Amino acid sequence: MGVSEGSRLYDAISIGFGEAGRVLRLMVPIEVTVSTPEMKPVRIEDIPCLLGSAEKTVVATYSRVRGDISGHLAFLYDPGTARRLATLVTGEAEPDDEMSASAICEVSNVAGSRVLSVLSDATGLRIVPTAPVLVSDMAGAILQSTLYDLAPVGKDAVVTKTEIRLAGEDAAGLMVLIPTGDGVSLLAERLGN
Amino acid sequence: MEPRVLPVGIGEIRFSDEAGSVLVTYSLGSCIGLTAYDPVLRLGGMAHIVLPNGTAGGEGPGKYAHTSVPALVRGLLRMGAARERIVIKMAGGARILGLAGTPNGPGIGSQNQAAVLEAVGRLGLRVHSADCGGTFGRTMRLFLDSGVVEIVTATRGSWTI
Repeated sequence: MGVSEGSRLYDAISIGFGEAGRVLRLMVPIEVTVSTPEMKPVRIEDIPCLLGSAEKTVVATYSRVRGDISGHLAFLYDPGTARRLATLVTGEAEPDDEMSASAICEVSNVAGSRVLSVLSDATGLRIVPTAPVLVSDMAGAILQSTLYDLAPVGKDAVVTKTEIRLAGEDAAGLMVLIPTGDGVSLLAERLGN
Repeated sequence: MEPRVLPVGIGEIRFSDEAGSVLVTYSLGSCIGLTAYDPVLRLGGMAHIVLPNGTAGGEGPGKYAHTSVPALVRGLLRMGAARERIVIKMAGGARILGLAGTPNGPGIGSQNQAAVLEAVGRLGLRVHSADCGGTFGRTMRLFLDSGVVEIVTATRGSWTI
């Protein structure tokens, strides 16, 4: 992938992440900040440490990316942020576990689908997420299992990530998109046409 | 004094004969953590195995079960361990996203478990204790002073094997 192709891909994903932020703001009645995305090739071995500490416990949702390209789409939240998100989305002071899980999955579903539909519109490729699944575990274990168990990838992967921060929260959530196979080159190629 | 912590990265093998040191590999998911320990000399090694088999492309032998297991045992023997004393323990091989509409058939975690057991058996050795499978991640620590292996999880507490 050349510099200009990489730049076009970054622009398209940035728009997608920005759109995801916009729909998040519609779902949550407080200020939500979505940072400028960071896109870079990462050694597969380093991906479990994307959050800094592989051992950090997170609440995560995971969707496979399917269609003309394959990949991984994950949202990783600090447990406190996840609880607050569930409270804000449901409007309940103390939603039960099932309701919380459903709310967090719904947030990921809406935001994640928005990212992929922007990419799909820009490239003409069919790109759809599977329904998100929620897990609470060590960030490293989730990311490592994602990479090796579901769709083995090569030595490096192009990882795009952005921070999602709720007003008044120190901890930030992370939205991560990792195309696999020839996904990155196919996206870049289509964006160049 | 705090023990010296020696992290073992993904696909790596590391050894220690340092008193009070701890070999640790963090947040195993479908990967396997494998320890080999000589209780008399109090030296040990740990491997973080990623996949059952494959071709190493310029990387070390640690990534794949079929190369990692012999390399772990060989390294320990080179340090002076007696073959008949080697205690082998394994952990990991989980299916964290087991509900995620995963492909049919066994996941990589159970394939990793089988490949490690086979590779250990091929060396004429056996796995003394194991804590594998399930749908949760594990951090694995080998305490060189005692040979105790501790498993720590995010939501289920910790135990020793």
